[in-house]
Amino acid sequence: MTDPHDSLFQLLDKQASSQDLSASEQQELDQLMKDPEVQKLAAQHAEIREGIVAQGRANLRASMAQWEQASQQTTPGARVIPFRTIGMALVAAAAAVALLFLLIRPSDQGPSRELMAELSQPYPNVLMPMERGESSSSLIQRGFEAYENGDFAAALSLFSQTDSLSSDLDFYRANAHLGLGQWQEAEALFSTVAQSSSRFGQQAEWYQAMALWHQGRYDEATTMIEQIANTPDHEMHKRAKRWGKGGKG
Amino acid sequence: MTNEQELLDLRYANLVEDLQAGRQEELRRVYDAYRTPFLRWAMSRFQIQKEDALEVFQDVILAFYENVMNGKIDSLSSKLQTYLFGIGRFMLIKRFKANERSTSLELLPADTANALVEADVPQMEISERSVMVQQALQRLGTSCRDLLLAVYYHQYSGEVIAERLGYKNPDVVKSQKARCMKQLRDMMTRDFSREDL
Repeated sequence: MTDPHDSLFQLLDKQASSQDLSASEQQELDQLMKDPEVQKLAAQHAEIREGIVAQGRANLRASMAQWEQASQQTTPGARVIPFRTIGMALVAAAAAVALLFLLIRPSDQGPSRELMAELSQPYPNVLMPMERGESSSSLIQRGFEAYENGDFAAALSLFSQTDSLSSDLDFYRANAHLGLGQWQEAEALFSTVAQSSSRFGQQAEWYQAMALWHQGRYDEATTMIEQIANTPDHEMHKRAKRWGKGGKG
Repeated sequence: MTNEQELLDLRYANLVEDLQAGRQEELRRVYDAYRTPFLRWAMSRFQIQKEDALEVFQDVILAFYENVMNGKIDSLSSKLQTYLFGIGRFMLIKRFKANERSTSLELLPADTANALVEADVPQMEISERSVMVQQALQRLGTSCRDLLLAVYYHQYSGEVIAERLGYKNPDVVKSQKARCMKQLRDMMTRDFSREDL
């Protein structure tokens, strides 16, 4: 059985849902609304709509609470990362990089081993800094969390699982290769980033030079470093100058 | 805005259509992608606790969703991040004005100001009558409740409702909606009468 006021409610719904009433519909509604009883019905209808919307919001809030819980359960280890753990991980990563440099670097060229290790440190994560104690729900966030922990293999794996084509992310992929001592892969990616519109283009030039150096391509690396050292407003100018001062050759 | 965020925005090119077609999982993607950047920004900008920032973020998501569903946003002319942070900033200023570090927009993308439209922020206050309607809704059958929520909250089209809730066609949705509303109205009339007594 249909409600005798169905047309009224339909007009009210149409009006409330930001749809334009036609001239004849508006006229019909205006006519109906002259009746005080209809006005009461319209007011009640509006209250019911408001209540349904309130329930919809409550449901959506409940869903968001569930998403929060789910993200905490899926990343159990990501809740709180003590600074001490991060510090130790970074020290370990730095030591590993330094050791790799020590093994590969020719002894009669370039700066001291210590300076070399320092100047070749993978670039800090400034793209998506992780908040301590924050859950990392997306692959990219988890990748950066691993990156910050010095777990470059995990970072690479997570970055690779994203479908991101961002050259900024490529810069960090390249850094992860660098951290793993994968010089060729690092150099190729740094080269791509250096030629892109990435905000890290200049940093990529520096790291490309580092990766070239470790492949034994000293002339190419030196040329790049000298160019950077001769460009005062280059982002990595200071590093290149320090390299020059610390170099033996 | 970082390139990464721009990339995330590109992934949401069909977001409006997806949400209007009832693919609510897309809203969760948005939630997950912007949660941490928003919290970080809100906490540092307004000097507030994480719980407060999270509450505002959820209001932002809710406002965004409702604006998509009621047709206020038919396409994302501004970047998604810009839109979300613009609404968020508006809400944060209302709640934590005294805490804001700066009133300038320097930390937000240039077109954020366009998103600062009060009309985009729904009124969240709940009246006593709304609570009574919610209670009455709980007493309705699940199918009627789901249908009324689909019509009046999610504002899905008749086609989408028919497909998602298993009705034969939009006309059946329309007639079923009228029946469910009548049931709810009758309940409310009884409840209001009792209240008046």
